[in-house]
Amino acid sequence: MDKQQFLASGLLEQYVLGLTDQEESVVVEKWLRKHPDLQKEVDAMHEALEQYSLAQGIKPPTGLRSKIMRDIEANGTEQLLQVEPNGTGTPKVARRSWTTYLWPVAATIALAFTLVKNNGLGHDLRAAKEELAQTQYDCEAEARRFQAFLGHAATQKITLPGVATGSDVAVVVYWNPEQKLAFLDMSTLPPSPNPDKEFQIWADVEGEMINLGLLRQGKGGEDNALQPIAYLNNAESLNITLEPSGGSPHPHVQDLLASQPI
Amino acid sequence: MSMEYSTTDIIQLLKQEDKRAISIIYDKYAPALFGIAIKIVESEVLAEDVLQDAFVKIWKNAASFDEKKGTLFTWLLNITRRTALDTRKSAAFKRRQKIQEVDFSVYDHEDWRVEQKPEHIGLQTAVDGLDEKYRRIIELVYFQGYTQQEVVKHLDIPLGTVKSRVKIGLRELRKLFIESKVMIWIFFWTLLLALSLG
Repeated sequence: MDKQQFLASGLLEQYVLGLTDQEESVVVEKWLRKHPDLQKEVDAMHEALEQYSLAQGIKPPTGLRSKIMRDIEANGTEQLLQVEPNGTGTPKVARRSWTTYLWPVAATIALAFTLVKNNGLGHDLRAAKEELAQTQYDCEAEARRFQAFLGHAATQKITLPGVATGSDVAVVVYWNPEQKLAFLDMSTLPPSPNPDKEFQIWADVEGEMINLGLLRQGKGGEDNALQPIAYLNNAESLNITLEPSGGSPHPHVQDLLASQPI
Repeated sequence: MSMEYSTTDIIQLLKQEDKRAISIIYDKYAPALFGIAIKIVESEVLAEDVLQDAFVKIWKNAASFDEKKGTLFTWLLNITRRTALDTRKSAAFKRRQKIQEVDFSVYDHEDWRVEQKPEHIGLQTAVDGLDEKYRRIIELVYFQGYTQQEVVKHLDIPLGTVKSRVKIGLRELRKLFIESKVMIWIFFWTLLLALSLG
């Protein structure tokens, strides 16, 4: 990964927001040690978040401060040193016309106006481009992950043949007991015969059918992609049924499409 | 005011387990932390308890703060957020909660905001300048501690979109605060100029 790719990955921002896992944090920290400019960027983002939080603050009720200080007092032995807010920050200004104060206000408003204007259309376009780049990056990363999964030694390809006589249905599921992951190849699933019904996949565990997931097709679904389904260690067979839209808590076994023992 | 203390001063006092640190932290950060607690527990009364508990924890853990692991504010935020989330799980919270789904927008209301301090000139502009969709993500992740997967569920948008909004949102926020700093700078310099002329 070069620096550009690293920046495009969004890992830096995720790190600042505490969203990275241990492994990712190690990667980010390595980059930060090597590139002081990135560390500066991280500091600036932290500061922006802090300022953002301060600007959105809500004043706690009066009395809470002394309550807390009493609590702290009860929790330690040191003498509490009262910090007196020294209100000397206000500049001493002789009587001046109110118009004196108008200039800075006007200048700030003018600048704010310019900034807001500049942030308009150009910003939307930039944001859209960024979003596209991120999606591309994520797609590539996803593809790499899938490839690694498919090429993994423990990944088994399980084909679920259709149960109807003469059926040419053959739904493909990739099953990996080591990584405890499972994906269903949506391109092998036939289209739902009824627009109000959807396919759902189940695992048979000691005679009980456990839901592994709803197989969303068409709108919102990804017909050509591998869809993750739940992995169950002790699954004895995989079964796909046709269920009312949104899925069912228990399978309608009379509408079984395909089934295969593992 | 407490603004005169730099973060480095506060950290030093904190490490020496000097109680002044708590007073200074309270004066500087209590509104921000209280605002975050309210967002999580959705009640001002419970948020008071959260803040009280959080400050005791801050004090008890003062010596363990490590600036190499993160900023002072992030540390304070994490303690407050964890305390607030624990409260949210507690029986007291469940008794209080009448409805399951909470409309978080209630707490975005202007009336809840802290009155503007002079040092916050321009900050509100920066906050308002951030697009709603980015603001929402930052609220959920940063203030309420959602994971990206939880945001996917909560907002019903794909993970890729969540990730890109995290990235762009934070970059935008950073840019807006730089601009607001420039504005504060211009404000004070023109004020100075106007005073010397006027």
